[in-house]
Amino acid sequence: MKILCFFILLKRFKIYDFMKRFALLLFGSILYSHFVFSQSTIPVLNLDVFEEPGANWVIASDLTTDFNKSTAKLVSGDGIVVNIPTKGATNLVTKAQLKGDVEIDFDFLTTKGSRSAVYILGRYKIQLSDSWPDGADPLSRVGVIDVNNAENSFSFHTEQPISNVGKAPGLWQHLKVKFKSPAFDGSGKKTEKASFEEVYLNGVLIHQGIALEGPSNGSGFNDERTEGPLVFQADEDHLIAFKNIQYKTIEKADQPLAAARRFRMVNPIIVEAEGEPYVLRSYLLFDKGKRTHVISVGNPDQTNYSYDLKQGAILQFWRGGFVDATDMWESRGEPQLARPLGAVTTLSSAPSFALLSNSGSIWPDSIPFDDFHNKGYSFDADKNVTFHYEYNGLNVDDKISMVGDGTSLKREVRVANAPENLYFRIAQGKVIESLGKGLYVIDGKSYYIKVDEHVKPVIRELSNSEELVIAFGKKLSSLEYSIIW
Amino acid sequence: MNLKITHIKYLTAIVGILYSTISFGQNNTGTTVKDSVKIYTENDIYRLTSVPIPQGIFLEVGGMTFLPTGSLAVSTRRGEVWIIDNPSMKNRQQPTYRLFAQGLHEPLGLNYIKGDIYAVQRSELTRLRDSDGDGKADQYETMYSWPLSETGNYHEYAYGPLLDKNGDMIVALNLGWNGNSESLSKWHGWMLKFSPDFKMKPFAAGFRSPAAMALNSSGDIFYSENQGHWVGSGFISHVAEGDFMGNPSSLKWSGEPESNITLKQSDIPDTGKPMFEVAKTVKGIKTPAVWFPHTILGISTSGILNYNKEGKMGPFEDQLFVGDQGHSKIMRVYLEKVKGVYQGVVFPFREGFSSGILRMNWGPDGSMFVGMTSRGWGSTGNAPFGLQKLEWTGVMPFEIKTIKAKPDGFELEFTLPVDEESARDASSYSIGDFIYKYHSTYGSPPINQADRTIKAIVVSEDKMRVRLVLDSLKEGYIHEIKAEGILSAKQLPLLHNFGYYTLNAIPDGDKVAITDENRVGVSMGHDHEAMANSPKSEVSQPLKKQDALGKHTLKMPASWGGKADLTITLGTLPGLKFSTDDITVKAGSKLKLVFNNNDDMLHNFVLTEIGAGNEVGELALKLGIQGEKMNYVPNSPKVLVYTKILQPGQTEAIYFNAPDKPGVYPYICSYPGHYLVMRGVIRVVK
Repeated sequence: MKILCFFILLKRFKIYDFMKRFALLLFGSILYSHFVFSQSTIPVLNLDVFEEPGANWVIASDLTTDFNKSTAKLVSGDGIVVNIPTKGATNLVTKAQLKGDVEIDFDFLTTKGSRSAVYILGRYKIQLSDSWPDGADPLSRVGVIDVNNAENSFSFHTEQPISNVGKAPGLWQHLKVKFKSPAFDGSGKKTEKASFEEVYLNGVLIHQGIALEGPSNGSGFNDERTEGPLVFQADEDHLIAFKNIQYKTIEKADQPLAAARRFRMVNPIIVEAEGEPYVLRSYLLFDKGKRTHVISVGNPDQTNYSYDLKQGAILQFWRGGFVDATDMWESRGEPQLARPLGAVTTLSSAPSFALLSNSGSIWPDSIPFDDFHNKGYSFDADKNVTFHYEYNGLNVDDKISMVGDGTSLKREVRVANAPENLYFRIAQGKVIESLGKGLYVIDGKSYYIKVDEHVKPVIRELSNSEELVIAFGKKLSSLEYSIIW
Repeated sequence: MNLKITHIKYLTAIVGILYSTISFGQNNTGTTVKDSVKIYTENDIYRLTSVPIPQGIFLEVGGMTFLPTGSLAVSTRRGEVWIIDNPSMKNRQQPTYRLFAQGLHEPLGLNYIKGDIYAVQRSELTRLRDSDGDGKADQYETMYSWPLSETGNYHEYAYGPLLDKNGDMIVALNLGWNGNSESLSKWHGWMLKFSPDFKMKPFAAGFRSPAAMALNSSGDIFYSENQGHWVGSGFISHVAEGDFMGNPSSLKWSGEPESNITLKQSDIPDTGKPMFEVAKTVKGIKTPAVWFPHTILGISTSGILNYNKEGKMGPFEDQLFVGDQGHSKIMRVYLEKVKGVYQGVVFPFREGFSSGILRMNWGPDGSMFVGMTSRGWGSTGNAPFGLQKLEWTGVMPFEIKTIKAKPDGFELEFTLPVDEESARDASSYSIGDFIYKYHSTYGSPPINQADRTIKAIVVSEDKMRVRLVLDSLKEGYIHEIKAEGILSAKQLPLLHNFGYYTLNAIPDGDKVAITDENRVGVSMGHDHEAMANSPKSEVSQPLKKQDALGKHTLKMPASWGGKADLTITLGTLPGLKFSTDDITVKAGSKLKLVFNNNDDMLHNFVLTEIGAGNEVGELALKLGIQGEKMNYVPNSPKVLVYTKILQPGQTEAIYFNAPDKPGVYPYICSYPGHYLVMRGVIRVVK
């Protein structure tokens, strides 16, 4: 029963794969026995899968842009469908017709100022605009649902996302929608409203059970049906892109739900940074295990991160709420976990600093417990945290600050008397692309790193990943960079 | 004489009734039974006041320390450190709360040492400094960091730091929990010592759940232990360098180069012989200074507070006060050293606190501040957390102040002169002894119980002391010493009339010369088990189906034809809960109930008559030392069916017929102290 509540919490916030599998194993029969899935992919190999697309839509394999641009350089090939800024641009309509209750999944990429949306069944709209970092305009905020003019009331015209977890322009984002189609009786009279059962942006639940009165503004249809295409809204002035478009029909099984079981929902304990950073020790679920010497920092500007005190490593960062501490502060708190409330970007638990025998040496996975002396942390006047530790006789100060506008985190590391073979790993990922002037985009456009352009880190190519590394020594005793997402 | 005794018993009964009321937090004033005798309650003598806590602050107390300013610093299980100004509520002003630090990992220890506040978090000893003087810590310095299990075990708690008499700091690490008590990472189950420059040395091993430490007036270290695997009952024990306290799990690390202990896990035999017996052959085992009989004097020993010059708590200077989390009460311990070994007696002191007691400190005015939490472990004080202040009103309680071991018995010292007639009457006393098993099982029943006979009684000239000469003394055993019939010279009954003395060593010295004057006649035959074993009052009424089956039927009745109408499977949830608290069944249906105790404590299942959950729970609480034998199930017609007490991980299935009468039947865990929170109902419907 406890685990069931646990699972529901997981569902609400961040589902870690192994936990999910574990939970599915245990409760699959209870929760999913009444659903049958059939999955379809819309392969974006060419434009044949769309109904007479306008000239603004092209197929490419990749693109290069950054968070300040509204265009991009395209790479030929296939896999992504791109809206190029074009006067008279028209929406993109799939040939595939979605039927009944569906689950839709795709990746999208905004550019600076872009305004787009997706219409489920061609009718029901979710905004996919650039609203980074804070989503100031409520009408174009990423993830806003257009509910239609219910009773001509303007105040409920839109449904705002539960949290703002959008990413910077030029990064891939993920949308997942569980949609329930409207239902009609034999005479065509509507018996059930259409609804967005669940909407996840970048893995975070942003809507639950939002009923819809009718087609949204800007939809190509005035009526309601139980089937229709997926429609992606064009933008005349900005580039936008989509990939990995998938949908599944959820068929209701004949059998009714198993007899409802009684279970206790616990009152969740939500921890937010109000006015100043919240700096919290906990265990952390990470990389299929728990890490125990961990601290998480929530900033009032909605940028958050977790740090491994025994490796000197930033483990993850996220935008949105800080953490759910229910698993730590309810009853005995057996899991002792703080769970991030936002869209988490996971990094590596390997140490940030390493002494390498040469510039080609393999980066160590970890530093043994007794070789790393965490010495605590201190706050500046704004309660930004500097971590202090000693590794191999080297004293390190590692300061991580909020920038205040919610776009990024700034990291400043300082080492006294660094030897020539001391290296610092700024980032690691499948692909690291240099965008020039010290800007890098990491791991398939997951986040940006910005270093001073006079600092010259190198990209080390490994067999299946790349690393952005810089050597410390006499010439370099400190490094400053930003993580932007 | 006979008349007198009847009168005494009458008084005792009244006091008993008063006590049971007090335990529910009522403010009782003394009741005058006779014109000249005022019967004092605990509340008349030790006044309990709650310190207000602003709404929204979860003051789940983990650690407490007073600052030189008189403000109280409190660390909470949610990782905050609050500084409370004017906690004594002087001038009838509200105390004020200021947040000093935040985000620590379940800091269960806080101590102001030489100008700094130190906290013990799960994985480290931390110094908190406010370098810019704005009233908030801005430096969280890790003075020492220890490993934690990679499985991320919640049970790896850490406690301290205690400043010892040499100026070193002491920290103790709890064993992890994985269905057993286990040392899952280095130095868990150990006490660690830190020099002033924070070099760590393992100091002692064998700990299970060392929730509190303190120095006595001689500067020796004492710690409190909780019942569990290898720990038959709670206790406090003196810890010296290199001691092994009894739970072998920590010995996993005795081979480490820093270890000062050579014992290995395999050196500890799992025979169930008493610990003191095993310690005779296995060198290095330290037996407890004072055992706290489980369910009688608490179920989860916690904070220790030495009654030094800072305190004002009546006539018990240099004794130790020891809290209990589950029973929300405080015990009092008198220690003496016999043949170089600490031993002594534990008495009840004050009950009725609002939540589970974890910490006690002396306030600037000599009152005792008591910090509490019951989250995850229920307590009889059912508030989720609390801070209370205990003051001595100045009324001299009539108490047994000390009990000292003598070569031929015990000497009881009183706080007021005794009525000589009652003191010389052997029927005023009853004495027995017992001990616990030392084994890998969770807890132990009391074993080898026997009664002692009083051979002679000597009352001192000043009437302050009574020497009892016994037929024999059993070294190593716990001696239950009751003095129910004793009156003070002013005819007051004792506020608490019993104590438990752990006799590690029988002292040398002069024995009492038995004379006609002090000799006790042979006709006493006092049976102190009578209460618990009193014959049940069988009510003659038509046999219901239930009675035919019995209250504890472990085999399916043949008449059921191999099939129950309904099988109910019940487990537990952390925090003293059954896995479900609401079950609906048809009247008269054939039920199989499987209770799987998947918790880390002992539990049973007791189904009671409609509305009788509390009554049965209270009766179980009063079973005393007999309770364990009886599965804590009182002999009461209000008990319908029950399972035995189940060890962690144990399962029992019982068979019974649902009552014929529709209604809501409570079920409880009747393990003492659990029934208030661990309960549910079976709804019987037509």
